Amino acid sequence: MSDPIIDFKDVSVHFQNGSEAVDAVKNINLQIKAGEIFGIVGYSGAGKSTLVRLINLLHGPTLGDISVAHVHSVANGQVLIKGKALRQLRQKIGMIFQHFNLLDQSTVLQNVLFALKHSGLNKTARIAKAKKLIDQVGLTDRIDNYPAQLSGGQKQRVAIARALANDPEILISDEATSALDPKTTKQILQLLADLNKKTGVTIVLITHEMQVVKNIADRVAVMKNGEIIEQNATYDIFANPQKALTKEFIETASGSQEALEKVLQQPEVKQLPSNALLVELSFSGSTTGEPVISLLAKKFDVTADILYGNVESIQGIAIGTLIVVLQGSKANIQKALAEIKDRKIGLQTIKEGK
Amino acid sequence: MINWLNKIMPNVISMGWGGDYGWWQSIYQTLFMTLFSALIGGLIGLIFAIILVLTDNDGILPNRPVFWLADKIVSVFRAVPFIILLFVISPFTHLLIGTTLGATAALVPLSLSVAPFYARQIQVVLKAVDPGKIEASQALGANNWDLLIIYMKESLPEMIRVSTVTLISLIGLTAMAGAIGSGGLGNTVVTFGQQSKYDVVWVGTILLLLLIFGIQAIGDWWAKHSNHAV
Ligand SMILES: Nc1ncnc2c1ncn2[C@@H]1O[C@H](COP(=O)(O)OP(=O)(O)OP(=O)(O)O)[C@@H](O)[C@H]1O
Ligand SMILES: [Mg+2]
Repeated sequence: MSDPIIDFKDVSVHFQNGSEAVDAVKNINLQIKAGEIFGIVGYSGAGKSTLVRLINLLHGPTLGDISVAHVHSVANGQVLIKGKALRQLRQKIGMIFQHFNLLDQSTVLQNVLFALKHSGLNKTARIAKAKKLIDQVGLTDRIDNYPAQLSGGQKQRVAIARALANDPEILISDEATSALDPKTTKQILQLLADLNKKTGVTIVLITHEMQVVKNIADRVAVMKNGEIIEQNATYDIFANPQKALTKEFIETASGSQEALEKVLQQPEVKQLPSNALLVELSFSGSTTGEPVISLLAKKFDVTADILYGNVESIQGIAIGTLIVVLQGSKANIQKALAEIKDRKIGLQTIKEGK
Repeated sequence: MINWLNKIMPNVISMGWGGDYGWWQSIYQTLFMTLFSALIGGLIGLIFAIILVLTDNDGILPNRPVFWLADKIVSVFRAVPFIILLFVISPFTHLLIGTTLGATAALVPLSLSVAPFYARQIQVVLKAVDPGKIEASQALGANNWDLLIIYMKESLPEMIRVSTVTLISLIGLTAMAGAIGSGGLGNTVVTFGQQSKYDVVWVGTILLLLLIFGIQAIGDWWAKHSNHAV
């Protein structure tokens, strides 16, 4: 029963617009387990939207096999289901969008009711269910408002209520927080995480910001030019990124790139003395910074001056970054570096003094 | 009072209100032609607009041959000037109605002329519906019928606006049809104008303008009040 709820085998999507050809999705193999929150990160044009639109068949692939919610929907690039069967599959897959895509000429209630049109419930039951969904996203007092009367965050809540109307097994979020401010983004992500816990709905979360997946995703895939270049548990992606692009995303998310630039501007770093070394230390899980710093001083007579520090928790495990200036005799610094490596602490030399 | 009116607009008074050649008959015929050609031509135009939007490349039922055919039909009928269309289709009108004179016969060219005009306007309006709304609805499991309703409902204020424009241009066409004896205010104005009875021309023109401004005002109000997107 641990079959994946979303299963892509060698899936490719090729677009041909006249003479212009784009391989938007290339040879993707992807298994997403029921109940997990799966993040897909990539820059604009990486093919994220194209990839997830294959889940609910908003468009078909050129090649490959797809199974979704135990329905074999695509074989050898051929879409196997259409008409009513396709619409029924889509009811099992909710989707929310960057620009909300609500019906502007319909009220909040009508928007949610529209999703229930083919639910098989009678009118009274549909209205009761719509009201319950709206309550679940905290908009009961806005039930008769039109989307134009709502804030961005409220609109996305309506979209979430609508997407959940048919008790979907999967919820796709395509940049759903990209048009929202940081605080609202947090609230919406929290809502998604809560829904995942409460109902077990599988969530596929597309974003161009690592920050978004950091707190709620179980696993993350990084996409580039139509390919998944790296895929791992969220913690491992952050603690141990393999590809340059992944590192770039993480550095942007943690703000450590920005911090490093500031550090490099400081006078004591600009004129780094010859017996000093600027390094970045990264700690994860059980290893933490403080004992090491004091140990370096006691054992090797190497002082460590902390210029920047950051600790964050991913999937409940801490990941820390320290940018420090190590100062001491050459030999002692070498010993200190060896000790750091022994302790499985990430070490990156940024600048050597002269 | 009557004496004074008789003095400044003798022909207007002598036409009278009732009777086959009275003002009421003239107004009634204009309203009749406008209303029924709007209904018939509007329905044909709406159907063509829907076909054009659904079968377009980026529509929900792309179909090149159907799109091509509908597009060409609309273009051709749109290109023929109304006054020429009146004569070109007169054999067809005769076949259908049994005469080419009068308000009922005028419905045929009026409908055929307004249909492509309306089709293009509605096509533009429907195409302006955000594709994201259609995609979101599809993702919810909507069928094509649901999607068509979304198209119409989301563009309702704009549909009202272009319908108003169409209705007004249609009143212009009924006046032109008057030149070949369709009846109506246009016909009255032309007939009396040729006899230099300018009091009738003025009153007829004012009545036409009142009708046009009335429709415009109602249309503007309705379009505004049906729009919840702002
Ligand atoms: N219908 C289409 N026809 C042709 N090319 C397309 C189509 N849809 C997407 N593409 C192309 O496929 C590539 C991937 O697009 P996609 O929208 O999947 O990227 P994305 O990762 O979602 O980007 P964004 O973050 O901007 O949403 C792009 O080069 C895009 O131009
Ligand atoms: Mg996208």
